[in-house]
Amino acid sequence: MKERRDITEMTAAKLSDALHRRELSAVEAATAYLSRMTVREASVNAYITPTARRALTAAAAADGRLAEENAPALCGIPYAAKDNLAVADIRMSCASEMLRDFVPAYTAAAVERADAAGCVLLGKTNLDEFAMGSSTERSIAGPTHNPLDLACSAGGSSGGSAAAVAAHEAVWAIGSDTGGSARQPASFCGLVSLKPTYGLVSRRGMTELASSLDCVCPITRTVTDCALATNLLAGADKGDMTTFASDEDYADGLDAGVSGMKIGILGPERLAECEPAVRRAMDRAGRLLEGLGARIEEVDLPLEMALEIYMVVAAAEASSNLARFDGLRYGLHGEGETASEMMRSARSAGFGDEVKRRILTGAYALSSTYGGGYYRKIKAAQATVCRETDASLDAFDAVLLPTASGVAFRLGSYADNPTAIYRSDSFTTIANLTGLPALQFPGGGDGHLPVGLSLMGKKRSEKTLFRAAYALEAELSAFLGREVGRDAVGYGKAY
Amino acid sequence: MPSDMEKRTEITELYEAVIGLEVHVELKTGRKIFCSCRAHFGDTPNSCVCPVCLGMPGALPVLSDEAVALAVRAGLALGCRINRRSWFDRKNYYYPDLPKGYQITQLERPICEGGAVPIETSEGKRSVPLIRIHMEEDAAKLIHRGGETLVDYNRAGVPLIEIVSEPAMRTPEEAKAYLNALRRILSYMGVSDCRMNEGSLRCDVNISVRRRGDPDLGVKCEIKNVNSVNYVGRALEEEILRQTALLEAGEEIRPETRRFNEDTGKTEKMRDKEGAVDYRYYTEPNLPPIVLTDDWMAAVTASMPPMPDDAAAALIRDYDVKPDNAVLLTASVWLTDYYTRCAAATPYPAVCESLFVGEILERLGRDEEREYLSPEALAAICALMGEGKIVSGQAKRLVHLAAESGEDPAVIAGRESMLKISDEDALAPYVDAAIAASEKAVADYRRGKVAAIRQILGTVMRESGGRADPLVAGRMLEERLKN
Repeated sequence: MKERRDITEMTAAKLSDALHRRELSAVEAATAYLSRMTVREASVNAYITPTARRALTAAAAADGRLAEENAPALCGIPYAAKDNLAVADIRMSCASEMLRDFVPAYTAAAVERADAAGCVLLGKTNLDEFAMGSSTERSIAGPTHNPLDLACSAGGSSGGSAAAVAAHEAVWAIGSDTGGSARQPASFCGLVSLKPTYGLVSRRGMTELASSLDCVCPITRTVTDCALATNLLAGADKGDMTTFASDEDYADGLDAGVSGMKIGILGPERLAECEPAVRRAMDRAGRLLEGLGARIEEVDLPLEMALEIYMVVAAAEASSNLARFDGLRYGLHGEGETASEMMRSARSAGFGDEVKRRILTGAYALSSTYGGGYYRKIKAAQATVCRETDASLDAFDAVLLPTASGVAFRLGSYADNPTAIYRSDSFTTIANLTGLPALQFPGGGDGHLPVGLSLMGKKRSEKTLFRAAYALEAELSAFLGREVGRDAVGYGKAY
Repeated sequence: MPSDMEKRTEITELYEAVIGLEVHVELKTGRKIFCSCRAHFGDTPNSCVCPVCLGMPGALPVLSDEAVALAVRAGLALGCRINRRSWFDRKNYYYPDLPKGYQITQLERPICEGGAVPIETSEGKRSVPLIRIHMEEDAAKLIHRGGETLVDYNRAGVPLIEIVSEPAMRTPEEAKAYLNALRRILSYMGVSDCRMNEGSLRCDVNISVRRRGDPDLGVKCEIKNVNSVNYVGRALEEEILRQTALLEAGEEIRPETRRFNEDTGKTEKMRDKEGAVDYRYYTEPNLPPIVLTDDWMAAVTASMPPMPDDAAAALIRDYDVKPDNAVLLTASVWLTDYYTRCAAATPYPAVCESLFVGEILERLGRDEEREYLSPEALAAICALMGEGKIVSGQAKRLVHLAAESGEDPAVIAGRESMLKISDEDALAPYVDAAIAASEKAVADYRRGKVAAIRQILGTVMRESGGRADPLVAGRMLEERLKN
């Protein structure tokens, strides 16, 4: 019989072994996590809506399957899902007043797949309202705290999912990433997250922010776990016409090494605004890769242009996607004599400032009267970014770049200047704009908090990215123990 | 004061109207365009809805192949260029009938472009060119009742095509002919029911007037949602009068959206068109472009029925059907097929045509494709009549008796004593009784009023239950009255 604390220390891969060997039951695992949640939630606030009863039912069912032959790899593994993914009969608030009492009757494809594989949903996690933000502070549930330093942000918008995994309140979690919303929190919390090639994971049931950029992403403690979770989430879905089929086993051949790979590294002038720890981590990762037999070469990416275009495209699509929240059929009910008064009342009271700011910006960009064909120009510029990025990537198996320019910032840092936080997406939006895959993994630390690095690759090159990150993960584990503070709860112990 | 008639004549000499129609047609797939909800007129309100057509967060559209096939079929039938690659755009606006706050439609690259609708008016035959046909989803239906408005989302997401004509029509008659031709073609092709009263075909009318010979178009007004062909004609006539009166008075025509008031027969203003809504169009990100492959196109082409006019011509050619009846019998592919099998089963096509059009056509259900009477049974009745064994009144009765009982018509005719009486011995009692009962008519006839014999023959027919052979009975009457 394992101690509860030991159970929550295990990675998905290890817990899976223990469950399959029947050393412990899925119900024991779920119970351990649920009790961990009762201890940690008061300070971390990772969850908006815990689903304890559902979890225990699912765990009992998972035990039934584990007793049989051929239970799926992640059967019985507790996980969490961002509260912008629908789960039937469980409130989906999107952290917004607008959907405070909204209970969908349908379940997101990603959650369907996790549930079908026997994973045990522990709850719905916190986010910035409608996934608009990089700090998980703008939520009806209040801010999520970084488990590694409670005064700091867990990042965002998938801050709740990342914090839940980092605080060992879930083995892994599903987040979403429109411009870095899963990678940046994973970076701030010292975790791994894959922003998959656009279309690899179904978006069905995920509340849309910017449909052409949105990706559903796994957030895990290790590269192996991330590959296992990707196996589970990836693949065509008849309900999302933008998906494609994939029969890759992402966990297979992780240890094949990087020998012979050609990896581009973002040049030092691009890192000028980064904290020293980030520059050191980049430099070290490059040398480690070289030491492992990869060829390293400096590369440049149109990051500035990508960020600017991203802000317009994301706002434009959001302004349209959020138009459905008019309070007439569901959501916050507006008062008024006419339909338009009712809509105005619901939307004025239901949306927070950041959401309103982006809707206004997006509507302006799309407007033919005011924007004057602005959006068309932006889409042309996006095509240019795609072409330039493809050209840069052409000679490489992958490109190494930072995920964020620094470690987690303190909560409230951007309270007075809400748009300054947009800069924190500098390194991440390019993968969304181009639809390319990018894998975030812990690359070091500043002596206290972790630094995240990303490998970005060509379309559908996830296996290559996993392989390279896996090789680095093993080399980096010793450094991580030193560079990330001891307060960091459970950090590094997974290795 | 000049009369209305004179006013109209004068106006048509001075001015001409320029008319373009935008016709929305519901595609007859039975399902919605982006989800699998039922799409049928008359279902219990809000019973055919799901997260997709209610615009719930995270619900994604999945395009119906069948809707694309019907849109392409419409395009092929109307001679359009089919764009092998087209895509959807979002039209953003807030309205209670629009669950997502945007409509998924095609702006930049519609599925069909060009094409024409052949029409025939008192002026002769011509073709009305089309600009485009695009696909889109229908909005929900608003029902205004008393002070409140109810929303029926059953209609939200019903597949539509919008057929946009060039502003190429000049008279209300042409507009009506265009609509009728379009309905005939699209319903025969199985693209749509085209029922204006149920909203499966809806028409917006664009109309401007200008002085004859003026190369520039006048300021146009749009009359929204006119819901019968006749109303389109009347709305146009009224609008032409209204606009020319304004021009005559030296006033300006304002670009307006108007509606036709069925009670007053007038058009009335709904709103100004100036400062039009900014729809913030952009490419729909959740649906990949529609790409039509050669194989797919070949399959759609192969599944096309002939054009209804060709089918009518075949009926005229093969079964000598009267032109008016040929049009009636080509209301649907099923009907044409049913009639063709009936006509092919009998050597008496004329009898078949008159019984089918007179007796069977009106008994066919509107939606049900169910044969009222089998071609074999109808052929048996045609034979009885063609061979002179029953009179036409009895043949009509026999159609319904056979349809109801399913029995052999010859058996029914025998049992019900429906067979014609042609034998003189059998007819003699009826003839004699009629002469005895028609003293005045007999006297008239004998005084030279030949027509009086009809009244006596009528008595024979009535007394024989319609079974007397009128030719034989008439001859017998003439012989007896001569003496």
